[in-house]
Amino acid sequence: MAKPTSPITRLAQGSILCAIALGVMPLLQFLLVQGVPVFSDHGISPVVFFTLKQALLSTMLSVVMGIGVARALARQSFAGKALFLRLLALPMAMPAIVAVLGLVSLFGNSGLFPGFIPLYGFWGIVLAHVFFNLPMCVRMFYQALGNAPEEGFKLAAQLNLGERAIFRHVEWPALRPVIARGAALVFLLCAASFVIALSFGGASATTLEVAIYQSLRLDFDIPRALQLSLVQVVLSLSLIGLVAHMFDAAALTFSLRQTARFRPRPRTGSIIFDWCLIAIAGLLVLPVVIAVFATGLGALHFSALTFQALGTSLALGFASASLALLLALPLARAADTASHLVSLAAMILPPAVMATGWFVLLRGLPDSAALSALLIVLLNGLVALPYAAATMTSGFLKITPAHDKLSAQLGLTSLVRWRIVDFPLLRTQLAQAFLMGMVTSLGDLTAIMLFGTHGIITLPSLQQAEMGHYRGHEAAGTAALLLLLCGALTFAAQHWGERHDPT
Amino acid sequence: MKKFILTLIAATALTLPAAAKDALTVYAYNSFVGDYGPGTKIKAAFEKTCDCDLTFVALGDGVAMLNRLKLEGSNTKADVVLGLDTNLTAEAKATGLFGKHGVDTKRAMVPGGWSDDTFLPYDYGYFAVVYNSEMLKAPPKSLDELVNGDPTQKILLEDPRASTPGLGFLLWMKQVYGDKAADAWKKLRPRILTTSPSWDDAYALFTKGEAPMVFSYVTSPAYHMIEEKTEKYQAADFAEGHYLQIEVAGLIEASAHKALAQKFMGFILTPEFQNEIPTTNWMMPASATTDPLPDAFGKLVKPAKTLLMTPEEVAKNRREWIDEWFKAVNG
Repeated sequence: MAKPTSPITRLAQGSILCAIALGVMPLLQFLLVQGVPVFSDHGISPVVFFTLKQALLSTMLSVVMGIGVARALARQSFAGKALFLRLLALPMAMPAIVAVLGLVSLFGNSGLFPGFIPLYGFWGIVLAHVFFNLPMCVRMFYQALGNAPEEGFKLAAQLNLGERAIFRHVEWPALRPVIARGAALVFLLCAASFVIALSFGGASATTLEVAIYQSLRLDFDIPRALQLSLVQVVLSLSLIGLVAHMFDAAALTFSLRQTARFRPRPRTGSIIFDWCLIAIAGLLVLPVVIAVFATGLGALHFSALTFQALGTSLALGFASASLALLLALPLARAADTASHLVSLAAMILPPAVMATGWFVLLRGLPDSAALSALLIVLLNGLVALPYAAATMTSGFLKITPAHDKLSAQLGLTSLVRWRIVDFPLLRTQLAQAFLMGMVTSLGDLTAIMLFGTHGIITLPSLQQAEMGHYRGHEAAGTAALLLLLCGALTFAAQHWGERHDPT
Repeated sequence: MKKFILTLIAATALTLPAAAKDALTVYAYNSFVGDYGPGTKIKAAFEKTCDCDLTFVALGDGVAMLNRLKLEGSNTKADVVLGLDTNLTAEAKATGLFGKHGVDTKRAMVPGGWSDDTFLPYDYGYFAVVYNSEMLKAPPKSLDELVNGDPTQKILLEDPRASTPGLGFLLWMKQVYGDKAADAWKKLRPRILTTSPSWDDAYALFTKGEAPMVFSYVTSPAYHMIEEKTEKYQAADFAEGHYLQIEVAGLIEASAHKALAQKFMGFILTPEFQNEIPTTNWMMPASATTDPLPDAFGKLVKPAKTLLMTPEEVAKNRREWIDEWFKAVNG
C-alpha cells in the first residue's frame, strides 16, 4: 500500500513527534545537573523479565481469545448480541481500581467465589489484564471482520471450502491488519500496568512503569527515569516491530459490497465451539460489570459536586476524543509503519515522563485551570490515539482503490469526496473511534494526577477522593455512575454510527 | 492614541480594586483541598481575618508537592506549602526555597515537642495496624507478634515507593529491627496479602473484608465510630511504640506575598484552623481546639512510646532502605 504520504499525515506525525520532543528535551537539562547515569543493572533485570512475562502472556490470551470470540460473534446471531457488544465497551472506561474491586467482589477472599482463582499473585494480574483487554480486542476484531468481503464467503460456499480454509482465505486477510495494532496496544497497556500489578501482585509484581514512577517521583532522579524509559522504549519498539512484521498488512481486501451479510452455515461442532467462546468471554467480563453496578447502583448519589464532576469529565473526554480522532484520521489513512509507531508514541514513552517535560517547559506560565485542562486533554488525546487509530484502520480498509479511481474519474474535490464517498463508509468506525477515545479519557486518572487539579474534578478523581476519605460506599456509587455514563455513550455512538449504514 | 491611553487608564483603574486584594497561593495535597477535606472551611476562616484571596493548588501528595517545588525552583507560584511530613522536610530544606516561619514553636503541641523554625506542624497521627475485630479475635500486641504471627491471618500493606503510610511502615520496621529489618520483612512476607499502590486501595480492600488487618492510622477507628456507629474496626496497640507522622507547612522565602504568608503560618495553630482537623482530615490537631474532640477520639489507642526518625536520617538512607525492603520481599 505504498501511497505517497499526504501533507496532512505528515502534519499529524510532525505534531505528535513535536509533543514528544517537547516532553523529553526539557528533561535532558537534568542530565547536566544530576549527571549522566552509568548504566547499572541495579535490580532492573527481574523487573524487565516480570514486565515482559505478564505482558506477553496477557497479550497472547487477549488477542487469541479475541479473534475466537470476534469470529464466533460474527458467525452467530442471537438476540442481545448488540447489547453484548456494547457491554464489552464498559471495561475500557473503568479506572483500574474499580476493576480491581470488581474482581475482588467476585474472586477475592470476601467475594462470591473465593478461591476460584488465586487472585493475589501472577494469575490475578493476568486475569485483570485479560478482563480489560479481551473486550477491546473483541470489539476491534469484530469490526475488522465486518470488512471480510461477502463475495469471499459466497465463493467459499460454492467451492465448498472448509471452515479452516474460509478463515485462512476470507476472514484472516480482513483481521490481519488490525491484529498487529491490537496486539501492540494490549502489550503496551499491560507493560504499563501499575495499579493492577501492585494491587494483585504486591511488591514482587514490579513493572518497569513502577520503577520509572519511583525514580521520577520518590527519588526525583530524572536521569534514571530517562534511562529506564529508554529501556521501555527499546523493548516496546522491538516487540511492536516483531508483531508488525508477523502481521504485515500486505493483503488488500477488494470488495464491492462492504458488510458481509452472507455467512456460510458453520458445522454443529463449530457452533458449539463458538458458543463456548462467547460464554467464556461473557463470564469473564459481565460478572465484574454486574458486580460494580450491584455495589454501586444503591449508592448512587447526586450533589452539586457530582454534576460538576460529570460535566467536567464529559467536556474533557469530548475534547480528548476529538483530538485523538483528528490525529487518528490521517495516520490511519496512511496506514504505514511510521504512522503506526507515531500513533503509539504516547504509550511507548511513559506518559509520566512526557508530562514532567511539558511541565518544566511551561513552568514560567501562570498556573491556571485552563492550562491544566489543556495539558490533560493533550495527554489523554495522545493516550486515546492508538484506540482511535486502530478502529479507523479497519474503517479505511473499506475504501478500496476502486473508490479512489472512481472519485478521480468523476473529478471529485477532496471535500466532496469526503462527504459522499469516505464519510458514509467510515461513519460506523468514526463513531466507534470517537467513543473509544472518549471512554478511555473518561476513566483516566493519570493525567489529572500529573498536572495538579486546580479545582478540576472528574468522576474518577471524585471516586478517588471519596475512597481517600473512608467513603467507600459513595465511591462505589460514583464508579457506577461513570459506567452508566459510558454505557449511554456506547449506545449513542452505535446509534449514530448505524443510522446510515451504507449497505 | 490619546483615546487608547485613556481607555487603558480607565481599564487599569477598574481592575485596581481587584488587584488590591492580596492573593495567597497555598500548595496542598488533594485530599486536604477537595470537598471532603478541611480546605474549603479553612479558606473561608482565613479570608475572614484578612482582605485577601486564598487559593489552594491541589497536588497529589507531599512527595508530589516537593517534586513540583524542585521543578519550579525559585519561580514557584506557591507562597505557602502545606502537607509535607517530617520524612520530607530535610529534602525540602535542601531546596533552599523555604524561609523562617516566625511563629512561636511552643504553640505547637506534638509528641516530642517542636523546635524547627522552618516548618510548622499542623497535625499529626500515629500509624497503626487496624484490624477487623469480627475477623480477628487475638490481634497482635506488638510489631514482633505481627511479624512472627499466623501467616493465614493476612495484612494489607502500602507500597513505600508510592505511598506515605507505606514509607511509614518501612521506617517503623527499620527503627524497631535496625540491621535485622530485612530478616523481619522475610518473616512477615507470608502474612502480606498484597502491597497496594496507595492507602485508598489498601483500605478499600480491607473494608471489603479481604484481610483482617491493614496498615493505617490510630485515628481510623474514630471515623467508623462517628460516621458508621460501629466499633468493629480497632487499632492494635503495639508494645514497641508507634511510628509518628507529623504534617507540616512552610513558607516560601522568595514569595511576593510574604507578609500574608507569615500571617497564614500564624493562623495554622489557631483554633479556627485546628477545629477542622480531627473530623475532616482524621488526624490529631497540633494545637488547642475550641471544639472539644469527639468522644470517639477518647477511645483510641494512646501509644506508650513514640517512634520517629529525624528528617536527615530518612533523607540520607531512604533509597538504600527501600532497596533493602525490595530485595527482602522479593527474595
